[in-house]
Amino acid sequence: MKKVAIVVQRYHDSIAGGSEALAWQYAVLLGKAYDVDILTTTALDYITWANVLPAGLEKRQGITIHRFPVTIGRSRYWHQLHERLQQDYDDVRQGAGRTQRAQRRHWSIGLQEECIRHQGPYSDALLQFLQAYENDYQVIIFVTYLYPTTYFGMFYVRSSCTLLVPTLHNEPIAYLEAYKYMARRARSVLWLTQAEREVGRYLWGELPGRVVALPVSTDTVSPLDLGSPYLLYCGRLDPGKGTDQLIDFFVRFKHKTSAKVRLVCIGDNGAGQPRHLDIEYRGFVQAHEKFALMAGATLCVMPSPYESFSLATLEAMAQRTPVLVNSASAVLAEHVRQSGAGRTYGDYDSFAAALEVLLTDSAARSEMGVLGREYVIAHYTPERVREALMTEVEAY
Amino acid sequence: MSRIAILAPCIMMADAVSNDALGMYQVLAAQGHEVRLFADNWEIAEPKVQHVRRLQAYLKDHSSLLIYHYSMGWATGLTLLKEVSCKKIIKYHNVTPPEFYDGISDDYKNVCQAGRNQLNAIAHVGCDLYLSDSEYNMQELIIVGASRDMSMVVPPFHQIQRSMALEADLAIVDAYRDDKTNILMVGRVAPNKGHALLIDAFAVYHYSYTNASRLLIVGKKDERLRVYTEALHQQVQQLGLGKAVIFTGEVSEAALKAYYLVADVFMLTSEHEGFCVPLVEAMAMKLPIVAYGAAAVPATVDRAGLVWQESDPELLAESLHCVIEDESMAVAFGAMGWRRYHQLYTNEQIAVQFLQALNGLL
Repeated sequence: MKKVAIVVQRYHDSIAGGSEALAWQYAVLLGKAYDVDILTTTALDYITWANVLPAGLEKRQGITIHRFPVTIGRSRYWHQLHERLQQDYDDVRQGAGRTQRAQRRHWSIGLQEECIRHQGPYSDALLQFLQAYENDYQVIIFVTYLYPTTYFGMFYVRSSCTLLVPTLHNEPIAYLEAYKYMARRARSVLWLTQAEREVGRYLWGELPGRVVALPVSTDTVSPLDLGSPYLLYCGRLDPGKGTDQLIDFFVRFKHKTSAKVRLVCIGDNGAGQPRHLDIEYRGFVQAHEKFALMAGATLCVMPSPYESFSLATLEAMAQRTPVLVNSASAVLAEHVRQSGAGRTYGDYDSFAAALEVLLTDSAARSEMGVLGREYVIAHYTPERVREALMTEVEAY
Repeated sequence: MSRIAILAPCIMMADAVSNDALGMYQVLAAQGHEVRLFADNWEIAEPKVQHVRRLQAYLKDHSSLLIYHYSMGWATGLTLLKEVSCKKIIKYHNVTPPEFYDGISDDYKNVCQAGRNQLNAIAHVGCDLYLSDSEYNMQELIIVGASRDMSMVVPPFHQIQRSMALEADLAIVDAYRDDKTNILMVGRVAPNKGHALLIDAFAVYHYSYTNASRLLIVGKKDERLRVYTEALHQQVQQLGLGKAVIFTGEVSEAALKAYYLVADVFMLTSEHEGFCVPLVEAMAMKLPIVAYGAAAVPATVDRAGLVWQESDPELLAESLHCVIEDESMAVAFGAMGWRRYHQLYTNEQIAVQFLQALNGLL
């Protein structure tokens, strides 16, 4: 059986969501036709990338997971470099070409790579493995543009076998030119959405590739009745995810209107978050409960300005639940625009206006629910994603 | 397993010959051999270095092996080489031709002259193997009589991997991370390094292309070479480049790394190099190179930069301009250098070449 490798910064079944889950889903989709190896590190947390898991091999559902020790994790030094990157962000993002450098603080490729290397997880052993065994694999799929496992890994293998799944966001570090040259090494770039591809085109220019997306579960689940209408948020509670703003908007909405609606948050225990009678933090829940809550929600809200796919949004749509999303995320806005399955908001006024309509107009909600499910079935079933993925693997 | 002695006149910190000796020590020790370092002077605590007078007692067995790092005239070394009856290897790092020190330092001139004089004896001392840092060095040895069949090129071990992992001095990154183009040269402030051409080329670039530029000359100054150093400072003043040319003097490892990180181009105009480790450091950091191609320089760089046979400041300045203005060219040279580094010059690659060369002697 032909072999495929998937390189990802960390992998463990306790890590929910994100590019780690994507790597696993692709491994499962490809596992029927190929011998799949996941090449990753012994890190478990993305704050320090400390070596926690044992180095070596693990077999899971027929997929081999190789874990290599982290040589360089994330230290205070990286935070110092990153602080400088943030300071220089406006200058860096304007730096389309070196001819404009007179107006900006300049980051050499060496300095950019220093920032990427010390962001972690940098693994000498993983890179040496790639160098030694690249010819064993028909393709090597690198997941997430950001980390040194992908950045340096792509320089150790031949371009003709390299597929990149960037999960790209429009964020300051993405403006480092080094990533552009890394991306250009890939034989093909696999995007999760058309909107992400547009971000890629803007930052890196036109690159060969296609939108492959992620498989979304479309099994319908009986709704969970919590006794009163609720908005559901699914994900981490983190300022970067826009949840501070969501909670602020929700509290203001409750204060100004008489709407009997609650906000239910799952995926995070809410430690350090504001307490409010109508906000419930349910923490981590099992998959079945998550889908049941999605099915039972009046609507699902996704406040994150940085989403490269938003699996939770699509899973809610598959349960025929309308969505209310932050328009700052091009990906979320595209899902809503293409499907008609919800509304977008950009500030409190648009948030409140959309919420009022969605809470009161049940016919509109039903129609949006139908449209959302049709959209997911048309684009994101496992069969469709596998077909696109296989085409890319076999393209050479 | 064999008993092996590695000998050099001195083993110091941040010194290319010493780093090569230490690299050999580590590789051979990891293979399970009994290895010791010997020198007349040393400034490192680990691994332990023993005085050269203990060498003969250590190498009493015929099956033992002596590896002598040759880079300067040293009577003790030559005598030992003639007296010991074990297997012998020379690692030739080249000797700077004494004429570079004419009118600058009689001491240096004499040491270099002695080194050149001994080269003939070294080539005829009947060694089992002559290793050279570069093809250029190897040809010098063959010309003076070393056996071609017993001559091989093995690049020098270095500390680049350690440098890649350490934290750079961010005060230097902050000082030079600005809107100016940074041209970097790394090496001792010594007359074979061609600083006059370097400064002339930079002057053309600075005045003809962009005065938002600076030249960072990173390297130890030597009081015994004051005549040379003062002449360079005078040249800088005469060209009105006092604020644009920076002589850093000797720097820490963290500072050296910071200078590489803020540099846009590495420029080398040496007139004599036996290999030039800073070129490899630049390649490892994906830094494009512009160089005058004297001695071993073209072979070390290969296609990782613009290397010219002419010592022409205008040509070098134009080369700087091309590489700096065309980002894709700079990135391509950087990538070619990085590839060359990984194919030939990592310590792991050098260890493979070194152990292959020693095959049959251990």
